[in-house]
Amino acid sequence: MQNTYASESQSYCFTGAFLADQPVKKDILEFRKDYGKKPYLVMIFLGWGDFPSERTIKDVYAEDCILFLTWEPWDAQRKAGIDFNALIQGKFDSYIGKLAAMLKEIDKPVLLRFGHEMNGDWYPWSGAKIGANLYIQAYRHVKEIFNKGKAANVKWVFSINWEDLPRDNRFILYYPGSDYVDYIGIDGYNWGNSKHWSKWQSFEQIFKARYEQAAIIDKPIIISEFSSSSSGGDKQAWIKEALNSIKNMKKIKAFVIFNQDKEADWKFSPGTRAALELKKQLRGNYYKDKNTFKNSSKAL
Amino acid sequence: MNKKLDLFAALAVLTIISIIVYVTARTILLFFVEYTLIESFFAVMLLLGEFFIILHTLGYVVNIARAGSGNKQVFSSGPTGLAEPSVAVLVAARHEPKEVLESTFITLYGLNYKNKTIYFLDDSSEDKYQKEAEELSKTYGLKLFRCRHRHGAKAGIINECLKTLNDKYVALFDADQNPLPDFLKVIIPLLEHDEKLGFIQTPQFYSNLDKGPIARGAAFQQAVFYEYICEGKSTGGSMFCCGTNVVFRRKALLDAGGLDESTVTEDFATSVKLHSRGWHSLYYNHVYAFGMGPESLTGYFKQQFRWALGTISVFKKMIWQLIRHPFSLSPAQWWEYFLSSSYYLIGVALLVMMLCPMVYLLFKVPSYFASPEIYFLVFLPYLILSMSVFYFLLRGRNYKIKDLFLGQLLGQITTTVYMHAALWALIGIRGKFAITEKTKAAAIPYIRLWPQILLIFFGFISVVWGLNRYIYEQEAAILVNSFWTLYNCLLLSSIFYFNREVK
Repeated sequence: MQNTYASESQSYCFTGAFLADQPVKKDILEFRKDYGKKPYLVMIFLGWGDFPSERTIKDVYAEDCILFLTWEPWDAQRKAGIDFNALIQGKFDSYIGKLAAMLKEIDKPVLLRFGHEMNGDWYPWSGAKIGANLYIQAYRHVKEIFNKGKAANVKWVFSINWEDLPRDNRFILYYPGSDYVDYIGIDGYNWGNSKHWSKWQSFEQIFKARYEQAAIIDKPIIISEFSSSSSGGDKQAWIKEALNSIKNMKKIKAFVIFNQDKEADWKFSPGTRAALELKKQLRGNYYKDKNTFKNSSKAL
Repeated sequence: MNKKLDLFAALAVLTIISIIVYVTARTILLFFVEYTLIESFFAVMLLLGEFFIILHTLGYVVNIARAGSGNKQVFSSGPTGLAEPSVAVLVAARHEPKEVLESTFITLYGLNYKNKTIYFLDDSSEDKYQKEAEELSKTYGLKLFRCRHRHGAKAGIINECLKTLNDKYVALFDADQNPLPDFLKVIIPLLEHDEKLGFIQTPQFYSNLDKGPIARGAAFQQAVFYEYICEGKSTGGSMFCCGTNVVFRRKALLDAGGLDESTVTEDFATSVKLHSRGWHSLYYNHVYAFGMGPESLTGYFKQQFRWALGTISVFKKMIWQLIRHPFSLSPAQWWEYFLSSSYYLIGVALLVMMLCPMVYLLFKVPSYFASPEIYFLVFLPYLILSMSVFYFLLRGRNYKIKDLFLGQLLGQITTTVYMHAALWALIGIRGKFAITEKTKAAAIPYIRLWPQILLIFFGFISVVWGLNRYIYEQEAAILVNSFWTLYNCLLLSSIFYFNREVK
């Protein structure tokens, strides 16, 4: 068994970001210019049947960063879920095998999260839509094809939402087991008052309880998506509290900041007080944008 | 780390020395002071209460020292990859909500272990629940087991089912536990490795710790118990079974004659039998199941009452067994079982310790810290030392003082519930089996909290009276007693904070 407490003396957390749909060198360098460090994890989203662009892969690794793939089992255009029963019966095996081969080819660590935020009710693969049993079977099936393809450089992130929705849709029902997971990912946003159902919440209000639950499982944790809106509060104070809270949650080994305006103004627009604060907080040794560990399997 | 260990060792030794000095001083004092009958009564009661708490503190320190400080234990297991021995997974339930059961069976179904059969032991008598049980069994491929004649509640139906099994191992889960997929894969090789192991117990974890102060306090109480006490007991060969998240060797269970049906804490009583018959037990301190703790004060009180009632009735039996078969357990096991089974008498001890300073303030019965010299020289250092050992060690495992304090507060307001359970157990009234209540509940009407409220009321009156006395008598002991009464009142008044409606 892994000892959960042993690695505490070397505390660190890797940086990471979602920059653009097809991030290239320019995006990575721009991030460094704006916030002082590169995003060590560069996140991209991938629909079912698609492959990451060669250019992105080349640029990300040329910058000493690593790819964090969010693999969504749906038709990305139509937002329609795939047939999960067909998946576990092997209908998509050749596509899965091809992606495994492509990622293995990279020969450096790649993070992969398949079917994220399943403990919500908005995605077609969420438990609320297909049930936990089918989800687990699908997840294990996909992972086993990667095992067959010997794509051992691919690290699996079991990525959940900060809140179970509805309340009984608990994330633990979807956990596929230690053989199938290398990291636990947690997504969470402060929507401020940008929506009729939302209210201003600090990083700790969003992540603390979920962290305490996830930390029970013997796996390191990644904040796999997070950011804050600026409506209804002070975004500068928010990011300051967030990056300080992470330092107290020792099992968090990386974060991915969602730095694009999408459903809300998630981006830390360069020049704003919030962006300067982010830059200030990333200074120092705790947040790393480059893997300096000799034993690379230990630290991503 | 080593520095920390040294500091701990020094603290522990100091604590033990201060305990011994204190007890000796107190006892000598008792013999040399001339007391009236009523004064002697309170003095003896108090001394017994203190003895009790000191013994438990000592037991706790010993367990912590055994558990080692800082790092969790690591075990070697048998070779993996061999054929999986067969496991029967048993879940007994009576009138549980369908959603609760469904989550449990989803996670059992997801157990990453092929050679298993999941049994649903349906103890329901109402049609609605029986139908649901049949539906669930179909969906999740469960073997549905029912008893024709109900007896011995949960232990009864498990024993009936046990007769029909021939699997090598039997795993037990409460109806509200959600095991992680790796549970059997990790635990079975450990059992395969050691033929003498009768069972392996794993922790309970209340995952609903974000659902209000009761859930959080209860979760951290559990953490204190499972983090150190159990590890220490396991090292000393006296870890007892906690009824869920446990795997038995079927042979061992049969050897003990099945689960004990005579108490509401059948798990605890069964462990005594197993240990008496020479079986070993192991506590594996890694959480492999997510459960739910009580969220309302009603639910919490009911749970604590049941646990206290069950364990104290085993305590009575243990005394009999000690007299009749003193060699059935080793001295170390007797000591641990004495601690485990008497733990809930803490209600009586705490109540005495709350009442004595009040009695002193109101009626001048000099039992509690009547001589401030002894208090300041011995008791205070002892108190500070033992508290710092407690908090220091749990901090070492990343627990926060704030959370631990919440658990302690919750224990304080439950004093009278423990007292109630102790009375029932001593008279011999048996409780009913019910699983812990979790969901929605109204706040408890204040009239039903009369024991706590009376204590608070008389506590404040004593303080006011005491301070008036101090103006005229200028006696330091009055201040000390007033301070403790006020302290107890403040802790108790947290009941107004905890007692709220859960939606």
